[in-house]
Amino acid sequence: MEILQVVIFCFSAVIILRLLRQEGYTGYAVLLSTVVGILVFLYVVNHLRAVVAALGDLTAGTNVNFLFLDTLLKVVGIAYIAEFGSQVCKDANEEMVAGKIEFAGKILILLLAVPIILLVLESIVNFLP
Amino acid sequence: MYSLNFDLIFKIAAIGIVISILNVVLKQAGKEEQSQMLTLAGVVIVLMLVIQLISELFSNIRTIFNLY
Repeated sequence: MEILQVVIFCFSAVIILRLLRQEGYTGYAVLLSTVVGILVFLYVVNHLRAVVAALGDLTAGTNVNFLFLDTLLKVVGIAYIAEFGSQVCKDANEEMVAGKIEFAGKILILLLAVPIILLVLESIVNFLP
Repeated sequence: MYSLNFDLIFKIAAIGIVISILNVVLKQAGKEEQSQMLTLAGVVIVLMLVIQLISELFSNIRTIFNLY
């Protein structure tokens, strides 16, 4: 089971991180926690690729406009990277920087949502008598 | 399948601890500048590793979520 490997991997990393922080080397601890986050993601990313491919085939079947799935994937990607960045900053006790990253993420996602909102409004107007 | 390699974790932890121990030794020997240089060198080495991983992470995310 992959989840067991991930949990064991993270436990060992946490033990080492606690050792590093105890001795006062917080700089290395922050870098090490970033590396742990990246490695776990890289380990699971191929399953994500399969899910996205399945979603793509699903929308290819129906006549749904590809824009929706494309924007959805972009939003999820931006949300994930913003989350990753803000957690790394929170780990380094930089709450303000983390807040800024999340703020930027929200704005960019809003930017992506605008064309879809316009499409929805357009279709609603067409329904009206 | 990108395997969960433990050696990277131990490598970074080892660099951190060794650099800090050498720092203490250098401070005992009275060479302050060398110890600061050593700290910088340690951080730079670890950063090189982390940057490679971050670039791989971002290229993966870019391809999966087609974020151009």
